Amino acid sequence: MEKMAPALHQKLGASPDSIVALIVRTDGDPARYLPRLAELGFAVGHQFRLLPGVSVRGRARAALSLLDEAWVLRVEEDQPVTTM
Amino acid sequence: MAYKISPDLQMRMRSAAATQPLRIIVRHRGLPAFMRSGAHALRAGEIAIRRQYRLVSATAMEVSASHIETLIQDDTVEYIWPDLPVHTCLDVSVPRIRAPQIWNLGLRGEGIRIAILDTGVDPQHPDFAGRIAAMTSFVGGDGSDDNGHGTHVAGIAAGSGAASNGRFRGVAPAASLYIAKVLDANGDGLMSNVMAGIEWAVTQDVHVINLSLGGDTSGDGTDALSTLCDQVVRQLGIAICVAAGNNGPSNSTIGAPGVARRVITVGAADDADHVAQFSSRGPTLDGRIKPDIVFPGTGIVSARASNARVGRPTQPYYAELSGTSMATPHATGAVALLLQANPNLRPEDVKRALLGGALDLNEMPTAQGSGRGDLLAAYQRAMRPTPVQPEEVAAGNWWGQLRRVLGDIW
Repeated sequence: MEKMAPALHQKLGASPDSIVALIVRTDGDPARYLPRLAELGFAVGHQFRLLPGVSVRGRARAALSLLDEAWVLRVEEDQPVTTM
Repeated sequence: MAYKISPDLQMRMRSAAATQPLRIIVRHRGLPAFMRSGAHALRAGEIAIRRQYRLVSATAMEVSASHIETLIQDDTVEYIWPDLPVHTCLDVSVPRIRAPQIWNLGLRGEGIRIAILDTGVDPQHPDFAGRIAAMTSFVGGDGSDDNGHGTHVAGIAAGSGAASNGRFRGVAPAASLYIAKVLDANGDGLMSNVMAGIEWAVTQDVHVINLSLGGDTSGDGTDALSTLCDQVVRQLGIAICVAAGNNGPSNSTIGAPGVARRVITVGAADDADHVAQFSSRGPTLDGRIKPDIVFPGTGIVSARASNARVGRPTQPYYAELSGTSMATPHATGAVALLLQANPNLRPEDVKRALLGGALDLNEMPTAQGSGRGDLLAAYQRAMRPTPVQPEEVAAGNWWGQLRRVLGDIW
């Protein structure tokens, strides 16, 4: 599975300074990667254990740099959901 | 001539502008003048015929308020009523899926834990008295419902009907409720909040999770929320019912997490057992059939939060709402009753029983899934002995399987 959908990659690249909400799937316990995420300027929301990962907010530029991190399995938008 | 017009239509005419279109039903003798070939009103578009009835000589139509005055001059017109909206109360939709037959077997959801991840719930509503086991929020506050959607959904799954003398009773009226507020006062949220809510529900050891929510964009089920749902169903044995969405009738309009493989994705059927126009359709982006099943979801009257922003109040404590959100808790309540009937069922067994027992509505599988849910038929399937699944034998779970087989024999 690719780390990031091409459409998201393009969107982030088009406005690198925009603030984005993301879900980052991690290789194992996400707590191990919190310092690195802080270093990259991300504010961490939820940490997930069943499907290891975190929800974060940060710059699009930083989101693209996550692709170079070996512990990052997938980066996707934290999409809106609504009542049906 | 006013005697030809029903009193409530007269009231509506008084408050309507002359040009405002009104929907009416006209009883007439033979072919009324306004329907004869070349009639001026038809040609001019002043009357829009909606439906002609055969058993009674009557026609449903849309006309301007001022044109009703013209209609009553027609000698063939006998009487005119307003064409009023109708709604399906829980006392109609719940019997339609044959839940009361299961109640008569002594099954009302006792001991079953249902998680409702939504806008919260009104904890003061009499229909939930003593049965809210836990409440939390992932969007601020304490889990109280500041929208109304979650309370309505919870009422369909497990409302006791206490505020209506048992009339508006949910499908599993004795189940325990675990409430996670994951959507804000506008009914909006983020996938990550829903994922956090699911992890919380897992820690509460619930049996079934209701997700009357979702995203707008069609998916293939590989997103984080759908993946988590599949994992919870498969690895933890917790059933999850998800709304298909309200973006029908176009194809491929089901978003996450309705596109998850192992959840029960629920579309909406109307009063006449047709798939509702608004109910989202499959297939998923990767070509799988969804929804899995449909349940009643139009004009459902259920519990109303005291500060509800949504729903049309019908009486104190109750309101009407439509959507696949309303269909989904019918499925969740059904799952609760099936799990009470047979605690050995795994989520895939429950899903198989529900889908196998569904009433075929003769619509496209991408609209109806297997059909409209029928709890009694599902119950009969759920109580049959379950064959050993090859993958479980391979996985070494032979003792549990042996116990189940022996249990069926003994």
